[in-house]
Amino acid sequence: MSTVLAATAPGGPGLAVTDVAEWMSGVLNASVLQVGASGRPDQAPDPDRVLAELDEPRSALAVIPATALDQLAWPVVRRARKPVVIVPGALVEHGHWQLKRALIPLDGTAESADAVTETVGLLSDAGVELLVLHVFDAATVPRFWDHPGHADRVWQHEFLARFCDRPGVRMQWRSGTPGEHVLDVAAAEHSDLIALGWSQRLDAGHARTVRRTVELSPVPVLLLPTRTGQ
Amino acid sequence: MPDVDADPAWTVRVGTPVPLRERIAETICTLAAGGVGTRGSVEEKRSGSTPLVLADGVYEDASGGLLPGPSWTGVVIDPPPAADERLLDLRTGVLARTERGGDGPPLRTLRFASITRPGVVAMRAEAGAARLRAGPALLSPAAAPSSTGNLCGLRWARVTAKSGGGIGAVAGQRIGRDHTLRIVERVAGYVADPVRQPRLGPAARATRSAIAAGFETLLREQQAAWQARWDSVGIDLPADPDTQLAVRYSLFQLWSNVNRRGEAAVGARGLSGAGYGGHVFWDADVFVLPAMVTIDPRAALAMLRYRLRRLPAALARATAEGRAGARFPWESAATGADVTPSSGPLGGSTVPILTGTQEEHITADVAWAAERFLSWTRGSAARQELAPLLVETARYWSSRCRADSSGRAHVDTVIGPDEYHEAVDDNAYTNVMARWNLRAGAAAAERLSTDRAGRTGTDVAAWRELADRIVDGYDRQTGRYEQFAGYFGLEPLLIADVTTPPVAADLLLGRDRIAHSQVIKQPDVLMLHHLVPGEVEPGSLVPNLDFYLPRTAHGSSLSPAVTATLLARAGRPDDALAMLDIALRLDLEDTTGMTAGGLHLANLAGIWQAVLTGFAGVSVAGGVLSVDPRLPGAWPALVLRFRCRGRRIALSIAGERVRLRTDGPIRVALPGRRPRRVDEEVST
Repeated sequence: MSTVLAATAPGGPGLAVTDVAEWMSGVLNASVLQVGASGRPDQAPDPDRVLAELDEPRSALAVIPATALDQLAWPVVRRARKPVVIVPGALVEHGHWQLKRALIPLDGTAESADAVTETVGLLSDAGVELLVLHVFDAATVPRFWDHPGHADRVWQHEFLARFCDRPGVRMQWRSGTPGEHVLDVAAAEHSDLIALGWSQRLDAGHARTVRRTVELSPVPVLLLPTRTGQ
Repeated sequence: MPDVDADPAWTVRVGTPVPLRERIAETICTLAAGGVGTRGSVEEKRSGSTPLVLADGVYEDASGGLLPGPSWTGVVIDPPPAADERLLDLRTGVLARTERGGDGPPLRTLRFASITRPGVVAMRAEAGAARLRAGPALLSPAAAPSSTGNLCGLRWARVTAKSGGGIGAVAGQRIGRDHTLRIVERVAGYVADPVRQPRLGPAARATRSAIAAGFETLLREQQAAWQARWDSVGIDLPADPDTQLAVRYSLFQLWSNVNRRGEAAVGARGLSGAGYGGHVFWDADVFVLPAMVTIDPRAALAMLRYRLRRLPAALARATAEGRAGARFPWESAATGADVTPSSGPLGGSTVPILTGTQEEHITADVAWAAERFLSWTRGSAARQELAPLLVETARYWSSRCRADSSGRAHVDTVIGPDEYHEAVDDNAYTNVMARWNLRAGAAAAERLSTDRAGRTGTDVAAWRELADRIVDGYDRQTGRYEQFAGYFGLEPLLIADVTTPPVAADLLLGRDRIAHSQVIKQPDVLMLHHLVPGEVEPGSLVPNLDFYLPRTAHGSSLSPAVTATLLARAGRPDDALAMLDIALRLDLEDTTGMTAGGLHLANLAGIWQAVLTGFAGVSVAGGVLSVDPRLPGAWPALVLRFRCRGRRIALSIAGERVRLRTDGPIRVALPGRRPRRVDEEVST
């Protein structure tokens, strides 16, 4: 059986991390393995420890708190070869979490779709309601949109067929920048999880959506490395 | 397996698409004839594939989409090909597929939709005997109620629509061996009926006849019939092979997708996909019909009969709204009732869709299509038959206009072709088309010895007088038409300030921002110069082109080809060619992201129009065919073949030299020449 790593100390401030890990273990049909700091059971572990555990063949996914982004979350997700869920601070301290709805922002590239395909399948099979979000910007907005009533249907049908071909998946699109819409749509749709494929690059000009989402999201953010990123 | 001539001037190649593009390949490789269309799906089950058979005018219900019919192309190939190539041969109307790589004899298939035997389709498939199994000759679609059975050695299937109509097919197949190959030859006959269950007898007879003829004979018939088509209509443009192929592809799919029997409900995507529900828009009247009248006038007449048979619904709608005459629906399907959705999603919110209630110009567009047909063909029977389309639409406008205190007439609260601005008053396009419609309707009514529509009170003098009073927003000082009352006062935003067109500017900027700006979706005022040049001020094309083009987002797939036509007519053929290029790539390169849902038939028609009426400058007025070429620098010579006024015309343009040949007498005006009768050939 595979394992979901819960990167927090038992009895520490990361109860919600454990909650999330328990839910994700249900989705993945896995068991939960707590990963604490060596010799410091009241503290979150260091990134190298999490990454080492995550590299183990049995490990499917890690759940880590967002309370210390620069010390733990960013170092882990930038190097992780497997999915990582970052649990926001507010939820870490106060939340009780359950997974009913997930938001899947997709940028319309095969890379980001590939990154989320397996997880989307697992979430879907687990009965999680999935909503795909695509955000048009000046570079990606369609050239033609003949008739609002029909174009929307045809375009969404084809987008889902290409990038998220699972039964029952809903879709919405927005115009602007992804970072400005992901959180709004997640809130409006009462999403419990945001799943983002990303290239694991945090240097200037990259991962603006991921940064903003991780820093501001009130719900856990699942980051899925693209092949390009790896 | 019969060979296909892979001449790149006549074939569209589709290699093994990545799964994301499989549905695009299927659309592009659509084969259709006799009102039945089959997407170019591979024969075996493949990820991402959406095989589909559609029939002209057979809808699921009153407002739904086209009904999926039984599928005839499925076979079992195990293991399936890892790589293949589809070759659509435009010259002979066949789709060939060949497996690439792999061990043993490759899978090869060849199929066509017969144009000599309407409703008949045929396929041959061959592969290693251990890999290929024929399976059932017909498969029912999962999405619709259907029944199947066997009858005297043939397989039949029938799909039933909620409306009571349906699509039926009867198929037979022969399975043979040739050394290590298994060969499957399959023939099917289709029948369809929009309102009742189709009788299978005619399909069975057609299938038996086709089986008796044999696959090779059917193929020879097909090749000869397509050759005859290309002999009468086509393009030779060797200096620009990409454009030549794309124009030939456009002609091929127009011929294929427009039914020429009975009536033709030409949906926005034809028979090539489920997009837009097969619903009929002004695309059919203003874009597809003027192309078809030069390609296959009988098909153009079938399109007008679709409108004519829905005249009662248009009359009823006008009456219900307290108007006279006939108001045609913006979007229609089987019954002629308006099926435009009343709302739709836009960026996370539901917005009202007002085109169904406000885009009234469609009524004049239908009349224009009838007049266009009549001017490009000959025959008094059609003139009598189509007169009600002109007269009843004129009667509608006579009741639709509002007179102000000074006596000037207005049309309030409409949407013009630029759909970014809603509920506008005195849209120039709508008003001028209404004016044209009143005048054309008056002339049609006068031509009738009596009012054959059986209606009284046709005061043609009043119609003409009203037409003279309709405001059109023309400013003599600038030479510009104001698109609608108040347009010039909007934010003077240019599309270049936003991004590079074409772009769906309403998605990018939002509906409110767009509505308060001068950015427009597609030609609006300029559609008048395209459709009714006699109704606009002489010399007004260039000032309006110069003003409106920088404000045009081309966010409609209808826009590039029309703009190319206008640019050519304005004497800017190189700019026109750049615009035409956008149109040429629209489906073949899926620049809409929506070709998977079907071909943009109006764009294909616009491409042919751009070449014929834009670059070659072919027009007809007063029974005279005029030619006034404006070729781009990249085209040293152009040859076009087309139909006009009952004749087959061959037009050769090389530099300043123009030569026209005809198979019968026709009045012709070449550049700088007075009109004259030509019996065989004339040149400059």
